[in-house]
Amino acid sequence: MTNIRSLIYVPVLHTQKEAGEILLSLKRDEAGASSDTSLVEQEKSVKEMWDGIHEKIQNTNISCPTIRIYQDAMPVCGREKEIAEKLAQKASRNHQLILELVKNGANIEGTEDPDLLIEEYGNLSQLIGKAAVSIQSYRDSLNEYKEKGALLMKKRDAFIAERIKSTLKEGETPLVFMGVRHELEKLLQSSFAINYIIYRLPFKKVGDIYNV
Amino acid sequence: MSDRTQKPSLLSKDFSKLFSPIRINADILEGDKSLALYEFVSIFLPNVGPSIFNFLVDMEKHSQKLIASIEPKKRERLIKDLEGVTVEIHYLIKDKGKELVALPVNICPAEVLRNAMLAKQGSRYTEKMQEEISQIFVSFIAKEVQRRIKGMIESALKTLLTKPRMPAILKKLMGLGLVDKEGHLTEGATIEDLISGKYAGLFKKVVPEELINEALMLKETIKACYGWEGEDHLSSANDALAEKGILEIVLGEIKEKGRAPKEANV
Repeated sequence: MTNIRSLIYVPVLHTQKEAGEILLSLKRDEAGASSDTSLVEQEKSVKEMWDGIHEKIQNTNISCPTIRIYQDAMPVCGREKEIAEKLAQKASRNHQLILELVKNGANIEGTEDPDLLIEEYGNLSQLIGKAAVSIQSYRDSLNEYKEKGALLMKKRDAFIAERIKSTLKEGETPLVFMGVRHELEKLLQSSFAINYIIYRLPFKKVGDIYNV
Repeated sequence: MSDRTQKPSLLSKDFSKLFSPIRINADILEGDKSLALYEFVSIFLPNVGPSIFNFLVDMEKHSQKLIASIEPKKRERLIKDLEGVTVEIHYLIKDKGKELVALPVNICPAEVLRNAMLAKQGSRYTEKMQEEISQIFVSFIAKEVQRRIKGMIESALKTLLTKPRMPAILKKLMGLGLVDKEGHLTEGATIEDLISGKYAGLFKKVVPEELINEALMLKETIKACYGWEGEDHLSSANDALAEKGILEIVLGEIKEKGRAPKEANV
């Protein structure tokens, strides 16, 4: 009987608060430190969520050098660490955590097909472009994006699943950070025993966190 | 009847088909004033758009009630007597006495009475009009965003022009007719093409950070858009922007080092 390996799956929850965090942080770089109360609260909440995930990863007691990290939107390009560094500088907690793990010996792996990411970028640009025109235009475009996006996401997931299976070395544990739109687990559950790491914040309602 | 002709809009878009009697004086509205004004309105008059719409709708609804209590002969006479009469409410924002933004609401009492008599629902002031008002405000802000980006790009280009040896990238841009000898963007050069479209690759070295600026400002535009409508599409827009922002950084990074996959136009 084949021994099924363990995989750690961290659903990256794009909270409404966190979604703009990277962009807000970039803005703050230009405008100087902000004393805005809501922004401070946002920072605190997002930090708390990622601290919680960090703690849970540590509690798995898996040695960092045996961890291979697979990250949403991380292209196969040979510059994965530099990209993580750049995004970490831009206040992405997700990437800050990855860098810390890498510093402790974890390996980061190119995860996604760059051409599919470009396609995704094109779809998003189109969607956002429509948002500036009118609400109706955005609504129509959002529906169109969802249709195109579902097909594209299947292709992305298929690539990622194959990437994990083909790059994972003997004795390593895959640590997968994926956005909630991905359905990667469906493609992995036959090959891995999936352990989910989810940290929930004490928000007033679930919708505040999960954009539902 | 009053003149409802639209002045040339700030956005170089043809608004003549729109019903909304909103005019923006493109000649005067320059500099930082439009954004400052937008911020002021967002803070102190957050519901100005919907309020104007509600005012107009209330007026017509109220007129229907009034007209119902008037004898038919009197109604006809009122309509006849009021034919050609207009009531104009001017919502004006001025800068040093010059008209900056105008919302001249034109009411034609005879038309209102006629519609009320026929019990026409919605008549002139419909949801479509509310959407048009929002569109104009949002487009107005988008124009300001573009103006700022254009200013930043031109500033960067002018700096390059002062160098003793003109960079090859600038020569290429001039050769394509996108930039003139003084560092101004030519008429055919759209911000979209330069920032995220077909010429983005050429501009990457000149204006990399402005990409992010554009995304941030666009976010504000979207915020404004949904703010006026009072609907919650912001979360999905936020998500899209955050994802787009991450992909811009990721794809930009691999392209910068000459390892770009094909067609990486970020």
